Amino acid sequence: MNFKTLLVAMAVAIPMLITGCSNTPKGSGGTGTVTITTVPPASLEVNQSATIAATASGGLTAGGIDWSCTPIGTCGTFDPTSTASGGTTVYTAPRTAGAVSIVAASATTPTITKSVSVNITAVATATNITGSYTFFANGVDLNGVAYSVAGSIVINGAMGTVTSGEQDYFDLTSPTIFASDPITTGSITVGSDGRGTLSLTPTSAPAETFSITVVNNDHILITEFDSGATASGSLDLQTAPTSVPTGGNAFALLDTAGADAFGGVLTSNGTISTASEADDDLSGSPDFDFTMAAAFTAPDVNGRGTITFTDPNFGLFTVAYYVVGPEAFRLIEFDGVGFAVGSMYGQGTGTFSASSLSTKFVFGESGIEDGVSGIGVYSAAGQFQGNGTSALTSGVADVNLGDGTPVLAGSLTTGTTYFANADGYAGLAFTGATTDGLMNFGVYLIDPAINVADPNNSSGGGGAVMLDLDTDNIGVGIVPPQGTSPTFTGNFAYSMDGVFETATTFAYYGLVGEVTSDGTSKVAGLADYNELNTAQTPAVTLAGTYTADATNAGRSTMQLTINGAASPNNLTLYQASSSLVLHVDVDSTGVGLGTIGLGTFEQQQ
Amino acid sequence: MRKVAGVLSLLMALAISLLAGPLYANESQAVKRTVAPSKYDVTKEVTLEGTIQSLVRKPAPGTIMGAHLMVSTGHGTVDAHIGNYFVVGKYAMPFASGESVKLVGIMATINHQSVFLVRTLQTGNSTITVRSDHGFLIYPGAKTHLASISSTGGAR
Repeated sequence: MNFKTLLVAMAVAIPMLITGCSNTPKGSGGTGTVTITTVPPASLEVNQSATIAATASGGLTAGGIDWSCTPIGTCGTFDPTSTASGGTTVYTAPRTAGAVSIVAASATTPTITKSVSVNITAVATATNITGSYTFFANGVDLNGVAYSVAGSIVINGAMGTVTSGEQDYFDLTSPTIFASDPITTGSITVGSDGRGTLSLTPTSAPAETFSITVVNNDHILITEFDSGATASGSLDLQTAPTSVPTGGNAFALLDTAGADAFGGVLTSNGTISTASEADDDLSGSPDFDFTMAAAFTAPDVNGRGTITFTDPNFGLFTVAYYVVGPEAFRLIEFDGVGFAVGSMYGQGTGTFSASSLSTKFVFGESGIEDGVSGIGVYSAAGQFQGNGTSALTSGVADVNLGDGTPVLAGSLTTGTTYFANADGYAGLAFTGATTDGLMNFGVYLIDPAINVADPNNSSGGGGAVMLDLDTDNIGVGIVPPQGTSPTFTGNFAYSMDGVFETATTFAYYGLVGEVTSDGTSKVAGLADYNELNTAQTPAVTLAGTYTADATNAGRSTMQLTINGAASPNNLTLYQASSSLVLHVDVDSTGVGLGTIGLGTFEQQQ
Repeated sequence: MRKVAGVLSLLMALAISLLAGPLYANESQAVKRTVAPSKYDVTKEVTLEGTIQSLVRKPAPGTIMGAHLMVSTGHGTVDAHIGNYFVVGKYAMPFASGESVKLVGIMATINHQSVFLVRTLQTGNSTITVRSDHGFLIYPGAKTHLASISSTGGAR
């Protein structure tokens, strides 16, 4: 080695020895070290955020820190991307699971860095979606007429297959009702954010493709995502396929084709009803508090049985029920007499009274209307609390009849009366003055241990199923209880379906996806959007801002931009709990007749 | 066979009713259930006669959803809303241009546009029911009970 070579070697080696191996300046800027002082958690769920910080020492301090991560493009984001030494940034994990390296680099000498690894975890995996599941989806077909399917399937999540099943299906464009139709094959995929696809191939009915979003391993939101129909519902773990509705049960059914609704409570001995109180609305003629008899057949191996109802005002009709669990059943009519669909829930062993409605509740409902009120469909959502006897102490509702003038936070208290009987048969009567003419809700109370939105969920139980029983509106919905001071933070499955009409176009639509809420004012995410007659568009962007209603705690308003549209959708949110938010679309004439839509945010767990 | 099925249905209904045991209907507390007058007012119905100009399956945005018939009458062309149930599926009808029709319904304004809401439609010797007395579109096969709709509704 000559002298010149020795000098060069020393020039390289000495700085390395001074600064150590990992944080040594390699040729430019100042010297010093970078230290991550607030480290992210070792694992973080997709889309979730963590506040992190780093300091730069010595001659690097003034320049601050630049944040980056690997693998580039799929490792998440930082806000801001540069911080002063010691300053904080918010790291947001990507939508896909996997190992990520977060890098804090000296802005002065970018080669001086400090890294930390974070394992990004999925909210769901297909492997965990395994076993027998019951599903339903209700909506309209390509020609705008009623379409519904309900059934049960056996899923092998690890293999991504559906191995068997059974379903009932009607589509009024088709002359055939496909009852008790075996499902032969199918497939399921689930992404790290819980979004995925479910495809089913029945023996006789046309194949169905659903977009799905996992709420938890037992509860998945679904919407049909093919050109044949748009229909929304859920897929729930089937826990007891041999169950027959027994004891007290509450039910609600809507037939959009026949323009009929049926609901009430009944006591069953497993074969027939032994007591009941029911309501119906037959094409705008409501009937209240009559006896509706029911006869049950035991379920088959897939958890499908039948219920024959006898409504003295209507006659006989028969629905198939698909068991979710001992106290939850999905109903679909298959006799051609009508086309009713809905749910039945157990009521537990307790009794009810007017005080059962003295706590807070939210509700969401949608249905059909006469030709005079609006474009033919409507939706509404709200919240209320009873005084324990017969009046409401608080309550507001948002109602959109599709007439261009939705009701926003209409009062539910003035002149409103309610009752609840020992069997759980209840009702609310409004004046209609502040609810766009909605006057009568049939409310059918369920077991306080059953979650009406997610029947296998051990928390969030109670509430009711409901009917809207009016001359101009006929609807069906749910009434979950409203918790105290819920939060709206984290990853949520999101659903919405309905119809929109602008100055240039209209369509039935459905979408399901995943959004992340920051807990204060923003949501963002992706959804599969089926705009029937137009296109099925996967992974459209959802970006929303929301503001709490200072007057009505639990109510918020949101502007939600779907797929970058020029005009956002105006939603009103009613929060049941930190896990469940109901929303109704209340677009005004600013965009034609606007959008009629109802849906949920359900926290992914 | 149809007759037998009818008798069986009747017997089944009777059996279910008899087996239903003690019932506790009508035990609700005294809550007034007021039913509002229908916005679709049958007393304001009119009859229009004319010929079909065209069937509009996908009506212009801003109009009420579902199929419309454009009907030439002595007073000009009327936009008559009939919904989808007689246009697609099991009960679809041809609605040929030039065909004579007699429509019963009411005029309404939806989104600032006049539309005739058809309740019954007569072509030739057949009359079909498009809407209920309260203005709801109804699927034809599902409404055999319409003639005997309950009279128990109304104010309680």
